[in-house]
Amino acid sequence: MPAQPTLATTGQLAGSAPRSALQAALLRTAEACADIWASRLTRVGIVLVAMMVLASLAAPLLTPYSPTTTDLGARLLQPSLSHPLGTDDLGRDVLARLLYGGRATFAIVFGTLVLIVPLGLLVGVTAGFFGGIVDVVLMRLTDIFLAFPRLVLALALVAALGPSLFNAIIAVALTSWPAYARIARAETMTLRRADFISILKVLGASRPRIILFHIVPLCISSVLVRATVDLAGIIIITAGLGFLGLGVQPPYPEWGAMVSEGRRFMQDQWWMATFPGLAVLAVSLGFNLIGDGLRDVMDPRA
Amino acid sequence: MTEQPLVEISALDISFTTKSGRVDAVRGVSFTMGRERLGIVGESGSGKSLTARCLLGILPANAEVRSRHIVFDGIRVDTAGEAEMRRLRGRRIGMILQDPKYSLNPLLTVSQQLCEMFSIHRVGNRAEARAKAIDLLRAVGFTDADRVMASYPHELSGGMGQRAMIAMMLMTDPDLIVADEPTSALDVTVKLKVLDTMDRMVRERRMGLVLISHDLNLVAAYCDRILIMYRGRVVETLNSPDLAAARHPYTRALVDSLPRLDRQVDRLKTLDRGADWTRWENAGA
Amino acid sequence: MLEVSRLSFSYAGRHGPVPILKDISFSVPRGGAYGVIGESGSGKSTLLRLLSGLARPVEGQILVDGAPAVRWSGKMRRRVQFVMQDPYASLHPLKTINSALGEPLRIHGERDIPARVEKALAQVGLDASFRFRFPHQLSGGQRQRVAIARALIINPEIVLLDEPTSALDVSVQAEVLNLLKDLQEERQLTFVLVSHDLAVVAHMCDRASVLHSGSIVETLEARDLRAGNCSHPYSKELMASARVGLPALEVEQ
Repeated sequence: MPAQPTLATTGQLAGSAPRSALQAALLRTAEACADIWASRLTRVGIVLVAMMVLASLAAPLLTPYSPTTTDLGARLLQPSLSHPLGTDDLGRDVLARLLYGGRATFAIVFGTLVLIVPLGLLVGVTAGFFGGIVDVVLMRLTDIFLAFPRLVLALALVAALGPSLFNAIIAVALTSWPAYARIARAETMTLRRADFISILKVLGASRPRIILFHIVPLCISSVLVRATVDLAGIIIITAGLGFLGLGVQPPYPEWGAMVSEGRRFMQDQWWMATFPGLAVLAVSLGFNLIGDGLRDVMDPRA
Repeated sequence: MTEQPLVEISALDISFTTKSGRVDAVRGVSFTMGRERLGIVGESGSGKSLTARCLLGILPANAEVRSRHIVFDGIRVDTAGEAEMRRLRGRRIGMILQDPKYSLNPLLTVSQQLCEMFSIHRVGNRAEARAKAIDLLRAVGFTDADRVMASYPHELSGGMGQRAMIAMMLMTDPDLIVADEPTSALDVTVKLKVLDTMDRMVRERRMGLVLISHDLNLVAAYCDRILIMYRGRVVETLNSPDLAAARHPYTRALVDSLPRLDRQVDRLKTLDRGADWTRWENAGA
Repeated sequence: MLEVSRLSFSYAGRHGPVPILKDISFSVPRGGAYGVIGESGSGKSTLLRLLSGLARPVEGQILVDGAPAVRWSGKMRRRVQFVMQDPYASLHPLKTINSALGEPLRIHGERDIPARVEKALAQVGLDASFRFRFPHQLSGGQRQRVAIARALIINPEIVLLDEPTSALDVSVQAEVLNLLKDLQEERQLTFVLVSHDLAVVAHMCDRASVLHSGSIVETLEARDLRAGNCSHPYSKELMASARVGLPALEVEQ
């Protein structure tokens, strides 16, 4: 318990006090980043994910091969110096397909995130803030989505919309948002009775203003934490869709589809399915570690 | 004081190491007390609760404690092991905290919680425990002790809960009661009844009482002696009747900054926080 | 300035309406300070919610400068502001002091925000270095100053004070009470102060009502409060509690 900073000591503190809104925000962000970086496991997660994202973006620099050009003379080659992870049944370099395939996987992951976080927040915060009939209608709607197993629902959606990268994103997003709505709603229910929200009402703030500027920022952290932990699940669903041929369409690579193709050759050409499988594992693990770290920093209750 | 002191604390330091550096929460606190009523007054962060908790060995895990010695009735508390501390806590030193809502177990009846004190410390059998519990509940002012025995904490009001807590602490006939802000969660009219009850029990049973509070008036009314703490140090020790004659400027400032019913002032005196009061450390001790 | 007549409030319980406030009437002149003394469950928080427009009375009316406070929008909003008990809960944890103080001005579409924020801080005795700090970097007393500055920045006429110092240390309480008195004088503010502390009420207010289970049991002038002149048994009980320890503090001048 340090002695309270008082008027008499403000002179000393003034030196370190931020002098503009931007500086204050930067200082705060820097502090948060330092906190996140302080945990070793989180660092491992960040490095893992960052490396894989960068590698898939820099794919043309890292491999001379094209992910789609077939070379039947070089089919099913073992890992070697020229093909570090071997080749598949159509003679395509597995490393190249893995690197380029990461682009599809990350596109789905981040595309989903961009859709579900705002959607979940909007539904949850609205339900929590207004309560009553609004709450009942919105929450029953989310319950309906929650009642289906995610993969099955995603399958049904893609089957209905037709297989493509874009539709896979829509399908995964539609199956993922209800959990975020629930979190945002729970947070809002406790916040809406908070003193500072009452004060805003007394000050004359409109309800959209209170929701957007004051409640949503407080819900974002818990939703983001949940999202990072969830990303691992999203990757696995994406891979699942790919595995069943409902994601990215051949000849373009995608990790789940690669595992699926490699399955037939599992007995003799283990490298075809193993490496994309390991990639899925590594990215899921990375996101999970980041999520855990974020939760520790942002949510001291957990 | 002719008898052996009940509590003797000498050169107590408590510090915490946090991200932003070391915080010295208690610095060089020494005092002795007999079977008397001792008040510790200070503002938040003055170290008053830590000092008292140290006696029971219930400081937060990251606290670093150093002292010359801490003695309770001839027992060295500072070097005692966990097993010995458990025999002291509850059995010989009772503690009453701010809010009975949190210090009573919501899932057990009052009867269960009172009798548990008895069985933990193996003072007697169940029939004796029950008889004693009913006696004590009557003593702390419950006319319907049987009904209170069967009730759960949420069925009691704040004042009733705190009186039940007092009864619970008395089950093992302790020698010392440490009360940390026992009435700050209670309404003003209930406050006095609880304090009167506690006071009566302490006097009747010739126990020692450490009453920790930020409320100077309250402590002056219910204690024999007062320690004033500021930033981890005892700045002044005085007998309650002499409070008005306090010499230390911090004590004076505390007394003068209170709005008072019997005196009309236009502006309240405020604390000159720049003053180096800690130099007056242990004055009058 | 503020006139409350026959105010009642109840909420719907399982066995019919549960009354919280019964037939509350009082009036406060401009620049006056009115105290409401009550303990938990007396209905004091509900009274403030009604006076601030956070809840609507079941019966009775509130007149602000003669105008009934029915539609709480725009102009009426600016006339009545609220300072709450707990300075730790009344500031948004993620917003800087600058943002918290600027928000009322932005809500009402005003200009010249940075200059007015700085001026408001200065008025409550905080220097400009506090502008871009977050609430967790401030002490309880400093936060309460910010809460006061926020309430005053849109120039209200009536300020509702809900136990404004009960969460603070006594020496900080003195600073905050002095500040409130100065501001009141400077701006001719009308205060309604709710507190369980008779000494604080007697120090701040000209008149006060004792609120007990939803009704005003007695209304006293400040000098009666000081002298202990009251007739209702509940007021007497409060008075007795407030006088504990006073003999010990008698100072020979």
